[in-house]
Amino acid sequence: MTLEKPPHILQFFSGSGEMAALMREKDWSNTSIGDPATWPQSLRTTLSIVLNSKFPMFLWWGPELICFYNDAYRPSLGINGKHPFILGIPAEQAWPEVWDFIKPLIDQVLSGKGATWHKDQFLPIFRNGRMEDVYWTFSYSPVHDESGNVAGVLVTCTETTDMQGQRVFASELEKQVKERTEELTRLNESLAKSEQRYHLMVEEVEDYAILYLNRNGIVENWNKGAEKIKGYTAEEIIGKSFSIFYPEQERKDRLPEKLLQLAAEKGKAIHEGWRVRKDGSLFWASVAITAVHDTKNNVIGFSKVTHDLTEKKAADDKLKLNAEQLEQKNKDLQKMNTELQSFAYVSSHDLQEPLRKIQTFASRIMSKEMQTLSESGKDYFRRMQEAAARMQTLIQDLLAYSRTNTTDRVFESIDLADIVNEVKTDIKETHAEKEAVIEVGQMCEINIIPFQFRQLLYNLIGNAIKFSKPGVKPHIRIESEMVKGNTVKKVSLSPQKNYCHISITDNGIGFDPQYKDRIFEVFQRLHGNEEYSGTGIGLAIVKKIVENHHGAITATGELNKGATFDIYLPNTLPK
Amino acid sequence: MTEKLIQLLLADDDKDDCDLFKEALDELSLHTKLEVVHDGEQLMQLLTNKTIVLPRMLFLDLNMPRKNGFECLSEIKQNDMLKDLPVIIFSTSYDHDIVSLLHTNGGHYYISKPNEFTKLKDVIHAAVSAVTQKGYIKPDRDNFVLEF
Repeated sequence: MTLEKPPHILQFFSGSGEMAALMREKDWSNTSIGDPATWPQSLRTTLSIVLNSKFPMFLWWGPELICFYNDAYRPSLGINGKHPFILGIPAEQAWPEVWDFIKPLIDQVLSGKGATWHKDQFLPIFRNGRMEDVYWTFSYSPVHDESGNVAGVLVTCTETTDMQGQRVFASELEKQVKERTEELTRLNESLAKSEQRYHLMVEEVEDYAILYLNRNGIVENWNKGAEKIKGYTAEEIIGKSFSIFYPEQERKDRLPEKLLQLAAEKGKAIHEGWRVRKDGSLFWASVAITAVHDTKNNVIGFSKVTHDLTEKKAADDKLKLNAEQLEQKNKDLQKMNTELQSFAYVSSHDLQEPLRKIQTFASRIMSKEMQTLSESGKDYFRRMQEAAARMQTLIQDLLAYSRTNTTDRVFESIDLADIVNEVKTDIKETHAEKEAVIEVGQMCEINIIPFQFRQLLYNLIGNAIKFSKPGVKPHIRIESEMVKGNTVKKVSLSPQKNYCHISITDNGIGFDPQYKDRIFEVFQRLHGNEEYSGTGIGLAIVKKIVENHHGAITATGELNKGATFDIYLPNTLPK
Repeated sequence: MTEKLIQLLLADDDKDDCDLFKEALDELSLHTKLEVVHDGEQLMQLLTNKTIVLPRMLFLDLNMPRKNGFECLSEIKQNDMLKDLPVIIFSTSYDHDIVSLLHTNGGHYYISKPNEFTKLKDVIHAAVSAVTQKGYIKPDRDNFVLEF
């Protein structure tokens, strides 16, 4: 609706601008300041200035601070914002988003304290359909009415958002450049430090000689380790060929050149050998020469790391020598052992021959010439025969002992009961006069060398009968059972293996427990020949047989309280 | 006596043992005739001489010079003319495995030379009786060794 106002009255908004047109069209009668015809001259004059200015201006007028603005101001309100609805409405309704900020400024002006000034003030407003970050340079100044009171606040302002944006961009850019520069500087410093550290590190390494060689093997860099190991200072050696470290023969054989060649071709050359120190002494070196390439993959030089292994070499050599000596010693021992075994066998065999003659001829004399002998002559003869008999037993035992070493050990799976009963029958015949009771309990099946095991049982049961108490019939109990290694306390066995535990217990004279280990040694006897004859080999044979079966044996006993022999043989039978 | 004398052959290099063997035989009055050789070669020459009559049995020592008892036993058992001759091993040593080997190789009986004269007589008597009674049938391993 266009109201045709008398031009003389409404001269102050008669301009051709958009805002002037809007003001003319607006029905002001609903506002607190009423129809323009009633507006005071001071307002009219101010509006005239505002509407005609090309500088952005805004005016708040009256107790409600009714809003006016000019065409120059209009762009700052954008589209889909306050324009045009804030024209003629109270400031508080027009600027709710910044009211907290501008109200004190407006009050300052209204209270007569003069104009305000803000440069590049950040003051976001609602425009273009959203809250936008806006920067302003502005001044609020008082407008007096006819009575001299401050009736309005004139805002002269310019939006500096674009400028501000550039400034912000520039400063951001500057900031980023600065940061990047700092970062680069830091990186550079760190690189420099790292290189320095690396140099220091290489320089300070003492256990390894680390040097850099150029393409021709000339030393260009030298560390402490190199000085320590090779004896030259950096000044003495830099610029010289590394071949100086090689003994004459190796130099003649062109080893240094060959190693460089190898490193150049393969990337790396490893070598161990003698090297020469400055003082001419030799050290055993472990050397790694690594080719260094440029970006085009050309070999430009070599790093060379040398470790002094003289001590290790000496230790290795000694170890090797020791091993050789040990091996030789083992061979010697084996040879000696074989010789001893064959000696024991041959001697016991050959010794039997003359002994048998002595016995046989003695028996001839005893039967044929008895009458012609005196009593003492007969006594001497009897004693001679007894001695010969002892000697025969000794020889037979020695033979048996040597046989436990030499005979092929063929294991057979056998029910122990069979072999025990066999031996029991034999032994009861040979020792019939003792009237021994041999009780056979539960038996296992086991993998054994039958003839050796028979011998073992003969010896143990024979001993049990031999060492019976005078006047007491020997009572022997033999039994066996499968046990797990870890359940056995008497002797240390493999915990998880199964063993056949054979125990032979007698009621004989026993033995002093202090001899429990010694009784298994060759020629160890606890009794004189007068009491109990024997050669002291029987239990040694038993022990050897148990060892041949990879088992263990213990003897438990007390004087006059019998003895128990516990044998543990590993169960090697397939399950 | 109308009985034919039993021809015995002893191969042993040990003079003492040969003498004792003879003495034992003399005391046994078994109607035997003994011939003695002192080494393995002599033994094999005699046995392979086609003009002689083979003895009824051979007592063979193992440990002899030039050719030992093992070799002689093998040769005898591989010779078609001789393989039925009962060979009684007569040795000082007693080794379970060796005895088994001798049984496998064709030995008839095994005698471990005793250390008493009476036992010597007994064992010779046993051997002669066994061979004359049981003839050429070889005993099994369990009855191979003659012992007293």
